[in-house]
Amino acid sequence: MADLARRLGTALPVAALGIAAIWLSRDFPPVPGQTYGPGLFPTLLGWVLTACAVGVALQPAGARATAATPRGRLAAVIYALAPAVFLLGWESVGWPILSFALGTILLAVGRVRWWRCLAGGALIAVLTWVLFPMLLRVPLPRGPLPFIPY
Amino acid sequence: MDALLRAFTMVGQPEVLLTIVVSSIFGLVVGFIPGLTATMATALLVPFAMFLDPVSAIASIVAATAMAIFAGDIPGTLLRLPGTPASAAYVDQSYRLAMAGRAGEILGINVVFSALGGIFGTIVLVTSAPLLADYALQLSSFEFFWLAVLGLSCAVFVVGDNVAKGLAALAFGLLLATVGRDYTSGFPRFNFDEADLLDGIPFVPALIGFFALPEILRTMLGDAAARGQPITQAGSIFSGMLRAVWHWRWNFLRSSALGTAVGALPGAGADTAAWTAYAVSKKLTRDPQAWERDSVEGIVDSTSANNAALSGAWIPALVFAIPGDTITAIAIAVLYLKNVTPGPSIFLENAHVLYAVFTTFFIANLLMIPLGWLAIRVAIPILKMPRQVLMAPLLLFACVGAYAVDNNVFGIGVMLVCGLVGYWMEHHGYPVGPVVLGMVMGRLVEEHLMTSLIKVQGDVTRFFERPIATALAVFTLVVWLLPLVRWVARRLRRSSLSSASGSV
Repeated sequence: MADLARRLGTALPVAALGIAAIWLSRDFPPVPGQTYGPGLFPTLLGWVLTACAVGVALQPAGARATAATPRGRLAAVIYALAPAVFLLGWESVGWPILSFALGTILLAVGRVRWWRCLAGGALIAVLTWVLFPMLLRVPLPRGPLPFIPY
Repeated sequence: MDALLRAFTMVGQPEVLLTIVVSSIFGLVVGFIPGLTATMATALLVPFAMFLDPVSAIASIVAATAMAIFAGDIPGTLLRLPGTPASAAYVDQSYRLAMAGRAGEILGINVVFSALGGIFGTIVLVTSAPLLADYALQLSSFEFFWLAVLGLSCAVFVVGDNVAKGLAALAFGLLLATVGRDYTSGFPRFNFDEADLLDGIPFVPALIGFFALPEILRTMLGDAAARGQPITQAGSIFSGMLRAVWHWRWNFLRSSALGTAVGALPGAGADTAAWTAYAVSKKLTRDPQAWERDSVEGIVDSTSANNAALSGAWIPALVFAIPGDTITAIAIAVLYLKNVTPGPSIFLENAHVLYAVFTTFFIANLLMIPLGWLAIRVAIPILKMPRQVLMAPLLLFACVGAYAVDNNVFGIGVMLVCGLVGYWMEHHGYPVGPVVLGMVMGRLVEEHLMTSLIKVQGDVTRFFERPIATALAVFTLVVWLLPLVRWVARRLRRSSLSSASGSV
């Protein structure tokens, strides 16, 4: 029963993606004078995905991965959330403060001593600033620190 | 002869040589940083190239891109993060062998075979450019369509025994490539009213997401496999390389030739060459078990092919002014800006510039060995640090790399989503490599499919009319049928064995 649930858990998202592709492609207008158009290729891919999902569901499920520790899971969640924090504070907070703060927090999650975390966070902020905005001319936002040179 | 001497004099000038060295170092740095591609290195060089003479300008592009393609192998091998898409094909195998304590050997193979592949491609470029470009020009959309399908078909077998999961991953990548404006009608597809998706899913952030984020998350989850210290042969990068070159000479020649040919086809660049060479290597290997387990054969093949493809891409660019890839498209624009017109007339009007470019290719590829060695020495201490400590700067570099492609924060969102999807896929046994391949080749496949369909008014039988197209289609079918034939053969062998043991 558990094997069936895992097989379905592996195959169903693929089937759903395939069906969604077919469904969303159905209203794409054809090329003038033809019976096919922008929907043809995605529809074909939708059918391939659905067929593959059937194939995957019929296979025995693979070996289960070893469970992570609660601390490991928490660390992974914090790392997965970090890019989302960048999205939220990109313009308002700016790269120097964000990279320093997140660099420090992410290092702390990796069980690094607090003073090394602070030094590491500062080093990351300075290095990325010198490399990207100053050398490669990537316009990273300065946030509330407009005096920092580009 | 006069033009040749003039070209040598031009390239031998100190400022041209200095430009080559500085551009090489720049290419190494850009290639080493995951998310920054060789194309990006070229694009960043253009503002500087405007201040240089034509030979120095082209020399800077040639040197930077050659180095960037090789440098992409360094983080690929050490951290499983391909520095450029051209390293993605063999990143899993390189990383696995590096984790087994063979990082020095793999990096040595990367630098030596990259340089040799580049030199091979340059020799082909110099000697047979008109022939190959002429052949590529004769191909129509039918042949291009079948070529692309053949390449994708081979790739499904690269992912291992599970064809269903490999094919699903490939179809997912192709589907991602359909996001944005349709190529034939301009109709927006799957963009959900998001303006940033009108031009498609940004490729580099997606690449960083699929390859970097799952690795970072796995490391932080504390997987035993992600905690190892891969470097054990720091001092022996070139040890045994002469023997390796001799041992893999036929693979090198085959893959470099393949890479050059693929590179010469418009639209197919170093990444396609690497994937194709990797697939061919797996198919043609004499020892499939060793190939999977501990052989460097696949790495030799693809690392030779991607650097050879760089030179190959210049064949149609220089001879017919048709860019082989995005890098040569930028280079053509630079040539025009410098009042040098690429095309057949370049042999008559600017032969010295042409020969100077050829000479630059040789110098850049020869420089790759000492400069590549230096780059590897700089990279190796990174792995002395605990893996989990490395993940914080890596994630921040990934975020800024995803942003830097278009200077758009949307790239970070794409990286995050693709990273989470990639993690789910790997957790459930789906390979992410074919997704990236599908994204690279999706446009090419659909464009040629639609063009061909419109040409023949939807009559699919006419896809088999032209002899080369028919041959490619038959070859594709053979590739598809091969697993079925193998399965039947296995069943027959098993049944004959069981009947033999039953009779005993």
